[in-house]
Parts: sequence; structure tokens; C-alpha cells
Amino acid sequence: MIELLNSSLLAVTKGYYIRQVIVITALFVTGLVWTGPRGSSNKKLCVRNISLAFPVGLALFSMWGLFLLITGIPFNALTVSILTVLSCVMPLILYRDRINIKKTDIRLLVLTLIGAFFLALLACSSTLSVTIDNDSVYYYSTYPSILVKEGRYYKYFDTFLTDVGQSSAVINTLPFLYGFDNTFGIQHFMNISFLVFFGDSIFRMLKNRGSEKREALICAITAALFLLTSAPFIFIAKWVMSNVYFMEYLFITFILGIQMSKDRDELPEYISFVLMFTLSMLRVEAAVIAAVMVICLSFTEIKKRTIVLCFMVPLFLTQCAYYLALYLRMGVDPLYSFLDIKKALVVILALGMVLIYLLFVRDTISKNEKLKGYLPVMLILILLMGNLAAFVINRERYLNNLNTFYLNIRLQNGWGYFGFMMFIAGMAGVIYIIGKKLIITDVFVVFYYAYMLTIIVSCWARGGMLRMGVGDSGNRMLLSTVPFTVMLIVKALAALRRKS
Amino acid sequence: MEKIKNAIKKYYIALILFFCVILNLAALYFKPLESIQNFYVYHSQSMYHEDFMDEGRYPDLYLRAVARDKNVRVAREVQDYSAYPSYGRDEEESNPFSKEYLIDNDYIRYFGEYAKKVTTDKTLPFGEDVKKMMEGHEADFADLGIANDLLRYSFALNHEEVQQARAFWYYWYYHAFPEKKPNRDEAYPRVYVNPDEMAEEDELVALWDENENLYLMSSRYYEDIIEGGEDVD
Repeated sequence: MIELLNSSLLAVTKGYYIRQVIVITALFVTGLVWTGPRGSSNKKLCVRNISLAFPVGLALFSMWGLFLLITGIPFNALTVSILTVLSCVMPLILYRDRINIKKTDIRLLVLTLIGAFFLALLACSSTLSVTIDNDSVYYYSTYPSILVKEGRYYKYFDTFLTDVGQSSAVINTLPFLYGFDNTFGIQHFMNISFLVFFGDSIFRMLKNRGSEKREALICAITAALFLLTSAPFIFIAKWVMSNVYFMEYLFITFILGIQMSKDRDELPEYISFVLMFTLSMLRVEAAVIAAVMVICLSFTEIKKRTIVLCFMVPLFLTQCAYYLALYLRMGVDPLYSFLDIKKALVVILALGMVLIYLLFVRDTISKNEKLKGYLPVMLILILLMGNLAAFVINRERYLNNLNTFYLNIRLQNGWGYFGFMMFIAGMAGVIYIIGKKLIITDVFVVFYYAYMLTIIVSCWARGGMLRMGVGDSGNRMLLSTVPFTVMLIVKALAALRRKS
Repeated sequence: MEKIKNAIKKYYIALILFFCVILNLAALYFKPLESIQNFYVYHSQSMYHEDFMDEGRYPDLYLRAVARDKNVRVAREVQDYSAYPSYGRDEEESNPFSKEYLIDNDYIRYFGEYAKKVTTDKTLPFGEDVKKMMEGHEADFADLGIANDLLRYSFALNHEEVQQARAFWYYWYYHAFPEKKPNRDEAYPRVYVNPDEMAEEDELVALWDENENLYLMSSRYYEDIIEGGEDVD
């Protein structure tokens, strides 16, 4: 009977493989149009730009898909494809003076495209395993298929509208728009792109700290291998869920933000706009975590115009537009849901306050060097107070959640021995903060703690108790911090050499 | 010796990270991730995996794959909620919701979503008649598992504004259905599929009994074997 089932599946899914490969390659090319042109010197295509091509292409697709759904314009293969392709005209016009066909290394470009195609063939083959559960099947496959069939949001989608990361749902509409059945290849290709980006980030970080090129390269490769082989990363990377996209887009957006604070000319700023637009809707709690990330970026030298237009505006706009569509236009009010109108209003209010801070307060504070130096530790204190408030309001839920986090790590529910690594990274950060006498200049360290504290309070705010098991939502959120932990460990090791 | 010392000093970060990689691999060896969660290597491009049949999970992933380009024949058309006794009485404390609204319509909506076309054939059996017709043919069908999640999430396919029903829907398939049954999983409706010629045929027949056990087969199989009473070759 199994043979008959398999043969029937093989017969009906003929053509699915090559279609997914073509979609991946098309998204890669789309992203490369955005990430390719860089710098007034029109340097060659570099590892960073190549590794960002697919994430940016996928984010573009997700952004336009979400735009169509929120505005009520018909969502189908034609409309979203037209918008995604047309938006490629924008970088070609804006950066036309940087694009010099004669200077472009055509051979490298062709090799890159061929390489991407062959990697897509590998990603879509049956070589790499995945893990799926109920949420994978219903929230991130069934619901996206219904979105494609209906072509717009409807009130009767009910809890799918309040409990599902909408950007993730849009990403998972790709099979149903373009004629295949799963997103395994897309997810694997995203993971590969991310690992290359991660390695490149480590490489650049070490080079900036004075390492030689060869040494930085070897460290970058071993760091990427360390990430790749850690249990938390394997679980999240292979789990067909929103966590993988959130983990990877959060890291990419944050690192690019830090880079933009140092070198505005490196990559077009509007790439961050696209990434933030997608990131803010990947999970229900994404907006809150993204806002904390933006606050951390505000502690750098990043220009006000950049952080407001490229980071805060897409974050604020998506949340406002979505909640307006959800609660005012459609009148959605499920009996059981993670997100209700009260929580939505709190989120909008909080984002509004962050926007006001960026527009009117940040620059004033930055003029006072001493005060500016203490801002990062003040953020951590505010988040600690937020956690304290949560504890006071509902002690039982707060303590239960903390205990569940601890037990899931200790009992290795998806952690392996990586809990120990988190402890090392945490201690390294504390030593750094004490050594700096609370004047933190490395925003990565700030964000690491801020991220953890935000996860704890977000899980509390969601309602309900966390549970034991690798699949628990809170556990998965914590597992998703793994790239930040590895990066922090490498930074700590690099700092040792500087000290010596 | 001096060279080694210098190399360690220069590449200590990489060496420590490499040591961590070895630790990771050792941890994966002694406690494989498969011991915590199932990982699947796929042999088709469908989201349905053959292990799901043994696990009795996600039959809908198979259904949507095979029904995609096919016409599916069902016994009835979708009935509006107004045709059922509890219409207009949802807010009553006794919660008199007519579960027949779900039993009659869920699968039709499901195939309406995933099949190329759904046609109504009033000659097809329905409810208790299905059980009687299927007797003796069980061996021809693969038991793909329980259908409660398929049915639970089919609320999104319903364009009627039946909010209370939606809550009931969720509750019915998740809690009430298996109530008072000794084995929770045995209580739920199941999906049975005859995969023979399923890919080759353009038309399928979907039957379900009063307990919402679904039987999906090719049109040829239904006409020749179930209706016609022939033996399977």
C-alpha cells in the first residue's frame, strides 16, 4: 500500500521539483538586482551581496504579497509577480550612475547565477531532511493555500489572522502560486544563504578588529560550522515554521543596521526598508522584538533619516495598516487568539513612542556624551522593569514560564549542550559591561540581553503557560537566538586577544 | 615548538571554535535529534511523507496532492446554515448547535478548495449507506489516519458568518468528538484512500459516513467495484 501511495504521489508531483528550483533562482536574481549595485566605486560582487540576494528577493516577494493582502488588491501569481519584478526597476534607476556594464565582472556574475541554480537543485532535492508539525501543516501550508485560492483576506479566516505570522504565511504561498507543494527547497536555500552571510559577518567583524585576512577567513568558516552543527540551529533551520525566517531575517537586518551606521555607502538603504517590512510581520511578537532592535541601533552613529525611514517607518506602517485592516475593516474578533485588539493597541502605542523618541529625543540625548553612554544600560533596565511588572501582575505565569525555559534548556529539549554556550556568552557580556563601567559601546551586547528579556516578557504577554518540549513556542523563540550567541562568543574570544 | 605556539596564538579563536564543532558533533552522536523529534527525508515533492501513514497524521497533505488536478464527485451540495435547526439559536445557553452542518459540508468545502472541480452526484451514497457499501472492501483502502485537524481547520473555507459555530467547530473536533471514548484517537473520523489509479484517473469519488470517515477512490474503482460489485483484480 505504501508503494502505491508513493507512486501516486510521484506521479501527481511531476514538475514540482523544477518549478521550485526556478522560483528560487528567480528570487535570487531579483534580490541580486537590489544587492548587486553597491558603492560608488562599483566594486566586484562580493560574498555579502551574493549571500543577501535570496533573502532580499524573498523579502521583496513577501512585502508585495502582504501589501496586496492588506490593501485588498487581488493577490495572485500575476499581481505579486508584476510588483516584485517592477520593483527591480527602482534600484536600476536610483543607482544607475553606479552601474557600469563595462566594469562589471560578467564572468563572476554568470558563475554566481549558475552556482545559485545548482545550489537550488541541491536544496530542492531529497538530500536534506526537515521536521514538520501541526503548525507547519495548518498555519504555514493550509492557510497559505487558502490565501492563494481566495486571493484576499476574509474575516472568516479568524485565528489564522491573529495567530499566524503573515509574512511567513505569504512566503509559504509560493508553492500554491507557482505550482508545487512545499517550501522545503526555499527554506534550505535560505539557510545556505544565511550561513554564508553569517560567516561573512564574522569575517568582517574580525578584520575590523585587526585580524589578518587568512585568520579571519578560517575563523569565519569554523564559526559558521559551529553554528551549523549546534542543535538549536539544526532544529530551527529544519523546522518548517516561521522561526527560521525570523531568526535569519532578524540577524541579517540587525547586522546590516550596524554596518550602515559605519559605512552608508556599502549597501542601498532601501534594502533595510524591505527587510524590516517583512521582518515585522514574520511572527506575532516580531514587531516588539524588531522595535527593541531599532532602539539598539539608535545607540550607534546611524543617521536619523536612515533609522526612521528605513527601519522605523516600515515597522510602524505594517503594524498600523494590518491592525486597521484586521479590526476596523474586517472586524475580526476570534474567541481564542494570541493577539486581540487590546494587545494590538499596546503595540501601536509602544511603536509610536519609539518613533517619537527617534524623531525628537534621540538627537538631543546624543549631544550629551555621558548620557548617551548610559542609554544602552537604561534600555536593559527598562526591560528588566517590564519583566518585574509582568511578575507582579501575574507571578504564577511569569515564574512558570521562567522555570519552563530553564528546564527545556537543562533537559536538552532541542538544546544539546548549547545552554552552556549561552551561559558563557551571557557571562562574557556581563564581564564586558562591568569592565566598561556600564557605558556600553557595542550594541550587539546590548541587543543580546534586550532580546532575551523581550522574549521572556513577550511569552508572558501572549497569555497561557509555556510547556515542556522542543515544540513549545517560548522554547523555539529562545532556540532562535543561537546565531547571536555564537557571534557574541566569537566577539568575546576576539576581545581576549585585544586585551592580551 | 615556537612555531606551534605562534600558530596557536594566532589561530586560537578558530581552534576553540573547531573544538566546539567537535563537541557539537559528539552531542549529536550521543543524543541524536531524531530521538527528540521526527526528521523526514522526502522521496517526492509532496509535503506528505510515507511515514505519516504509520503515524496516522496529516492525511490532508495526501488528499490535496492527489485531488489537485482532478474532478471530485460528492453526494450533495453545500447547505447554508439557515437550513439547520440551530440557525438563529447560537447564543442560547444550551448551545444547540447542529453538528450536521459540519458533517454534511466540511468535506465538500475541503475538496472545493483543493480539487480542480467538485460535482454533485445525488446517486452517491451518504451517511449510514456509505458504511454498508464499504463493508468487505476495507483491505483495498489505506488508512491515512485521523481527520480531526483537517476538519477543525476547515472553518477558513466557510464563507458564512458563523462565528459561534467557528468556536464550536474548533471545540467539537478537538474536544467533544472523542469525549467519553476510551481511546481518544480511535474516536476521531479517519481518512481512507484507495491509491490505485489515483494519479491516472481524472475523476475521484469522495464518500463519507455519519461519523465523517472519508473514503476517497478513483471513479473507475467506485463504479466497477463498489457500485458494480466486481472483485478487485
